[in-house]
Formats: sequence, structure tokens, C-alpha cells
Amino acid sequence: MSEPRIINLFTTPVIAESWPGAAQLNAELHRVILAHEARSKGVTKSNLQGWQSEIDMLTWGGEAAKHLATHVVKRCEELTADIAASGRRRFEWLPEMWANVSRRGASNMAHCHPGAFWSAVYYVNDGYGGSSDKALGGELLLIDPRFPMVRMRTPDLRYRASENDYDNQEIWMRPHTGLLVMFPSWLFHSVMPYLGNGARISIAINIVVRAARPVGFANG
Amino acid sequence: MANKPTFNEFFETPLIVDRIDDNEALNSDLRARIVARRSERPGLARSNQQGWHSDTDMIQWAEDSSRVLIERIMGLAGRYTVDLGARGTPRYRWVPELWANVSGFGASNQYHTHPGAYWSAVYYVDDGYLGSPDPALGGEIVFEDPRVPTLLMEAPDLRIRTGKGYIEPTYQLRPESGNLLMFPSWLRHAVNPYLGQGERISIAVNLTAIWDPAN
Repeated sequence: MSEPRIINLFTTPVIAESWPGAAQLNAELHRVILAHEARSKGVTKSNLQGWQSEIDMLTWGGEAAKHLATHVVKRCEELTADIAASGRRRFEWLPEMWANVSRRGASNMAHCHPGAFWSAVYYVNDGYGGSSDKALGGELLLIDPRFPMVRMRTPDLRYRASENDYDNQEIWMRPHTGLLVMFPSWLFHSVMPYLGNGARISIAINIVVRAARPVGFANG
Repeated sequence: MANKPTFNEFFETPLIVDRIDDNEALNSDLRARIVARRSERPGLARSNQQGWHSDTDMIQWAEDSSRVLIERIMGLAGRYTVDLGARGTPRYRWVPELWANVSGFGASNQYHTHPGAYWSAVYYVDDGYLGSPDPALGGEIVFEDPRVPTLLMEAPDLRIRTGKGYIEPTYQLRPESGNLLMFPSWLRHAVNPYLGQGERISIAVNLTAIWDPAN
């Protein structure tokens, strides 16, 4: 008898890696972010209690921030295809960067990033102090873009992807220092309250795509 | 390289592709009953453009052959569904609804979903291709990404690479006689115009999950 096969359609890509620059540049990122926090009151957006900088970190983050942005833009290049390209480059990437410092109890409401194409978060310091205790919270939550449609009729009935895996509307990722996560900007995400006694320091990057300037455009 | 990113693909939408082997007797019986029904009834107008769409009582007028199909599809539904709240005994039962479609040259189906049902399936009694692999014969089933148009709004020509290709906003499959497809009922799908000289005969099935804890 033929065995059924499964075609997984319309997946949501989430790319995770350890940033190679972490060992050399985390200490510097740590220093510039805390120094900036000390002199800037920050902004209130999705952050609850935590401090969030303006989106101008590339103007004050120094070489370390530029290295991180360069790496993320390189990943955008690798991960994205222009299906209507005809030789000449038609798009360029513009990173917008900001810093977040979350102390005990800080979290982020669910949000997405309209106007950008890729969004990234980099963990300068996970704030866990080497502990693997789940009670420290601070997980990054990614929310199924099909939700709540997929649950409206029969919330308890789920697609069984394998013996031990079924469809769930949230993915929880526990960050670690040096982790870089990238996802489409339309993907709703939130951060659970950080309940450690240190400080979670992260950098968020929105990578906006713009039409490339025409070749030969004067002073372009 | 020391640093290779992990490419996760979350929140997938499953399309289950199954095949009924040794389907000659089954298909010839289904074909005979469908052709007979079509000669008696005008059919319904739903997502079908030009094609004949039977009433949804096919279980009554094609009982034995319908049962073979229903058992197969319920087997798939049981295999690929979990009730997180079940404590031993099932709390839901599947209620099937079947209808037949006959598509001649030019017939197609508009995009539609099946609200209220959990799984939807289609079985191809006859793909209508008469053995030809010619793509010009059309008739592909097309599934649309449930995130359309969100994922296209910012940059319509940009696609995310997966390693195997891109994440495209539609996925299309060329039917094959004897094949059975099953997918979530909320997944929007359509059929491109069938442009062959024969007839495409297919059977559509909706499985609705009915709350019945005493069952």
C-alpha cells in the first residue's frame, strides 16, 4: 500500500546562529549600550518597563555595531531573492538599529515591524548569568501568522506533524548570549518577562528594503 | 565554516499526498455512478466554473465505493490529527460530506475554502490527461499561502530563499488518477482551467469534526 507523504507548505522562516563577532565585540557593545542608557531616557514602544533606545544606534554604537549590521545585511543578501531581477541590482538594504536593556520584570508586548522586510535580534547578554533555570523567563515568542484562524473551530484539534510534534501557535526560544535571530518583519513576536537579577541586553535591527539608486545618477 | 545558521521553518501548512493502489475497479465504479448521476441531475453552482458539480449526497448514490474513499480519508485524518484534550476515549467524530466534479475543456474552480470542516480532500478518479505529461493541459490544483497578501506587501518581487527554492505565495500540483490529497479546510485553493480533450473526474470530501464525547 502506498504511504502518504507530507508536503510542508508556506513555512515561516526563522534563522538562528551564533554571531561570529560575539567573542571580540560583545564587551564593547555591552559598554556602549549601558553608557548610552545612562544618558538617554529612551523610548516606549513594545517595551514594558525595559529601556529602549532610539533607532539611531548606528550613530553611537561604534565599530562593533557596524560589524553586526554588516553581518545581518550579508545574511539578508543570502536569504532573499529578487525574482524579477534582470541584471542590474534593484534593491538595497537599510538597517535601523536600537538597543534594549531589560532588568527584572521587563517584557515586550506582541508586535511586528511594518515597513521593514527582515527583522533581527542579537543578544549581547542573555541576563541568565550562566543559569539554565527556566524560571528566569525572558523567552522570545514567535506567533503563528495564521492564528487565530487555525484554532477558531476546534481549538483542541491539532495537526499531528509527527509522533511527538503537533501544530502550536507559538514557538518559544530561550536566548543565549551571542545568539542572532532573524525573521520576516510581518511575524508577530513578544518577549516574556525577564525575571533574572542581572540585565538582559539585546540589539534589535529592522532591515528596510529600498529601491537601489540608478547607476550613473549624479551625486546619487 | 564554523558558523552555519540554522534555518528553521515554522508554522507549516500540511498537504498530504496519498495514493490508492490497484484502483481500477474502484475508479470504474465511481466513474459509472458519477456519469449516471450527471445524466439525471443538473448539478450545483459553487466554485465550479463550467464544470458539473454534483449534489453533496454522494454517500447515498455511490455507497460502496464512497465507503472505500471515506475509510481511507478518515484513516489519514486519524493519523494526522491529535485532540489535546482527549483522555483515552475520542471526543470528536468525523462526519464526511462527498460530491463529484466533472470538468470538460475549459472548466475550472475559483479560489475557495471550506468553513466549518477540519480536513478537506480530493480524489482523482480520472485526471483527464489521457497519459499525456503536457503542462498545456492545465487543470492543476493551486493552494494559496494563508499569509497572502501580508508577506508580499512590502516588496512584491522579493522572496525568502529556503535552500530548495523560495517561499512562494502559491503552490500548485498536477493531479494524477488514483491520487488523494488532504489539507486543512481553511486553506484557500483553486483549479486552473482544464484544457484537455477528455474529462477530469474528481471527488471532493469534507470531514467535519463533531463534538461527541459519548461516542
